[in-house]
Amino acid sequence: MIEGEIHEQIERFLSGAMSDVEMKQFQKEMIGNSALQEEVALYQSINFHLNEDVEDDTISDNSEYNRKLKEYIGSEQGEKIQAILLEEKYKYHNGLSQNKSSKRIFYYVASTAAAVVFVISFFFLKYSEKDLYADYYKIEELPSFTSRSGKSSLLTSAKSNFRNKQFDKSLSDFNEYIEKDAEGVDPLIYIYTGLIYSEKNELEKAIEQLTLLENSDNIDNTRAFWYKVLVYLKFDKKVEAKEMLSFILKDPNNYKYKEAKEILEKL
Amino acid sequence: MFEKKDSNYLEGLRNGDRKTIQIIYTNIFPKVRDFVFKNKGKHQDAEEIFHNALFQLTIRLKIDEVEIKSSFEAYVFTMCRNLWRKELNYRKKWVRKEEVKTLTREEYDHSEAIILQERWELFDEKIRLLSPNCQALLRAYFEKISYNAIVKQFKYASENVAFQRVFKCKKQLADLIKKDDNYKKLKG
Repeated sequence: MIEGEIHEQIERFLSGAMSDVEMKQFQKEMIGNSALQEEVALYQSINFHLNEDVEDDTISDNSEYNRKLKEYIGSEQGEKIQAILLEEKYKYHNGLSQNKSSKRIFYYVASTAAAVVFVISFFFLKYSEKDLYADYYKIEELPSFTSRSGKSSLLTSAKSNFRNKQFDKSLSDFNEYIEKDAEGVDPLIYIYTGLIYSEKNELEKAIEQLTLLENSDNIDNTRAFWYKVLVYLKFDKKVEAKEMLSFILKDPNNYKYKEAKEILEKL
Repeated sequence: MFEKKDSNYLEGLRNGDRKTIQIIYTNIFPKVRDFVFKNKGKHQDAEEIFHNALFQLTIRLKIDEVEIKSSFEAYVFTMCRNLWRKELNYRKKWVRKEEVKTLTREEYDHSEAIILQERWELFDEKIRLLSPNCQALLRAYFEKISYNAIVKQFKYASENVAFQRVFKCKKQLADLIKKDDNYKKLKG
């Protein structure tokens, strides 16, 4: 076929204007002819670009660029970017950031005013427990896991569902993971399960999960105190939150020692 | 036109600057939300689309340089429009198959969406290099205007001439695309 004919054939192939016989013949011709395949893919892509009803399904998982993108998206940096953006999306959604920044601006203005005004303002603008929770809960700081064989995909799915606020799905993934190998469970998952119950407004269960981490032999078990602080703040349980903060402040090596001090001052 | 504030947006996204991200939401998201509302979508759809666009743009900024010729706002809006179009096509497909299926993030392929967007940018750039007549003809053709109407609108002698012209313009476009270095990176 001469060049013009080939392109006409491609047009007819993509627009579905070929008869069954022609179609089979053309498909046969495409097999083993990578130049023709490439040309068809390009025309299909152009159709997609110009015609809203056409789908461009010509992207190969094996292209070098696609592999590079997938690798970066799945990397720790990629996950961190995703976490930051998700967090900011929720903040915007809840109007938290606007509310918070206006309170802070007001605080700074008030601090330069007369002493009486300052005192009044101080009481008026004191951080609420929920503000503190929003300030200190950082989704990107949640632990990553390394797991053996098939269980890693369950953890990946559980984490992903958690980040997408699909808490029931995430909990079911974590439970399945625990059932598969109860003895080999990484106790850091209880941070996630604790936070899931917290999101579901089940305070007792949330604390119960975090206590499982606290009582484990894991080197990071003091993280449980920190997450208990956050959960208590979310539920406006100031006394309990202060108690947990005091546990963290017993040892400067404890997880989030500096932040614990800050929160205690603010409370 | 690309301005200083636009490069600040890009820099902020690249560095994961939370303040910049909030400014982007405040300044641009409402327009995207209005667009999605007008095109069969809900608030949650708009949020998903906007989040995905920012994520994909950040990934691109981390991996490579991103050249933006319009304003940042127009660029993000176009990305969102393209993502929403893809999403609507996806939903249509599932409705056709009469299956009820929720699009979960695991199935959502960010790398594919990034490549589609980059292809879109490449094609858009090349279309602008075609003659005004070719551009108008291709757009009319893809808007499914009949050959009969095209013949009248473009004053061609016959439908066959119109077909040949469409065909030639499309080939010119394909040739321009193939000559670009980015084509190798983005093809199949």
